[in-house]
Amino acid sequence: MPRTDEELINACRNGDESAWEDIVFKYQKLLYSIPRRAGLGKDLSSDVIQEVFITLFRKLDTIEKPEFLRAWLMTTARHKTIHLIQKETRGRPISIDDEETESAAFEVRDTAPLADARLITLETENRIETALAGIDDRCRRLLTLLYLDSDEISYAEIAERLQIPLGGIGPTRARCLQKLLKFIPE
Amino acid sequence: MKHADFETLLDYLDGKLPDLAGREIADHLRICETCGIEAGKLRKFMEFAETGPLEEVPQADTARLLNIYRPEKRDEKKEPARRFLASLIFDDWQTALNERFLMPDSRQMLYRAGDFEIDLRLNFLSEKCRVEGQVFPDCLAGFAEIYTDAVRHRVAFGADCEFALPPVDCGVYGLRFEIDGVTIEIQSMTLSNT
Repeated sequence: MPRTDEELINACRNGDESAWEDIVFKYQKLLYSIPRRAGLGKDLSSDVIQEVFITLFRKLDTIEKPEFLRAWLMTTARHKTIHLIQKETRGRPISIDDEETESAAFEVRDTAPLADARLITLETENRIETALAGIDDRCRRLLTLLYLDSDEISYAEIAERLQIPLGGIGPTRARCLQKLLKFIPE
Repeated sequence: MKHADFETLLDYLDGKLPDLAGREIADHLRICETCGIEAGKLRKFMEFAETGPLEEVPQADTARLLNIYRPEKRDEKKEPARRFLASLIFDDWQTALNERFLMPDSRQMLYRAGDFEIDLRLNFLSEKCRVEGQVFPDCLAGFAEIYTDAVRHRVAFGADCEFALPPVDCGVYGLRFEIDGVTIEIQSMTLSNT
């Protein structure tokens, strides 16, 4: 049974390094996606998550509601992303004589992906990924092949790869999705 | 109508149901909360399948994130609090005084203390002064305080370690900052633009 965020924070406070690892692996992809979807490059996005986790480490003793860790991390990543976007935009030279430079300067990384609704979508995606990782291997492989694999794979090939009778793919898919749905928020 | 069969729901969302059966399911979803929630979750999964999984974090970044946590670093944090007196390293009035006869209605000052720099902006409005600023580098939880023997105002830092103290009457004040166990003081600052 995975530890709750509250348990993880308390364990970190008591020097449990494995709890920190759990937090990193649980949230790094979600947090990395926030600056990436706002248009920041990989290097700057790495800076954002690094800053978020440094801040978390420093604040371990003062976080008042560890049960809201996810929301706190996402808000912090969003603030740091906006801060970086503003800093980047301010730092760019603009020449009024040079249309190209001007348009480039205003090609601001879009902050719309940082709106609450979009962050909720991101969070849902993260929960689905976590849920996928948590279901049994056979289901995960089937759903990945059916929905997430970029290659179009025929049912016959899937049946062969997973050693499932061709006629069993439909019902198995339904059972696997039902398992997955339990972990997806309404 | 009883709850929709899960496979039928899937076929409906995949657009594989004949028109009549599809309409029946659509009608059912409007009145049945349970099936509506189920269908909503399935839609989320299908949207997720279209956008694709979240981007992988480069391994080197993961390694750096894991390295942030060190129990010994946490022990260091428990050292007794440190206290610094801040020293002024920049004041834009020093230039303004030489160049202008009238005092401007704002003033920027930069103080340094230990590893921290505090960027202060003093905004004057008639007989009042508002002190705002930001602490660098990346600051943690903390607060800024302005005080005299008679008055004391304290505000917590924002997400970027910025702060805005409430306006106070012009006069001489002390300023104090608490940043992650470090106390920084500006013991005497005259807030006046006359």
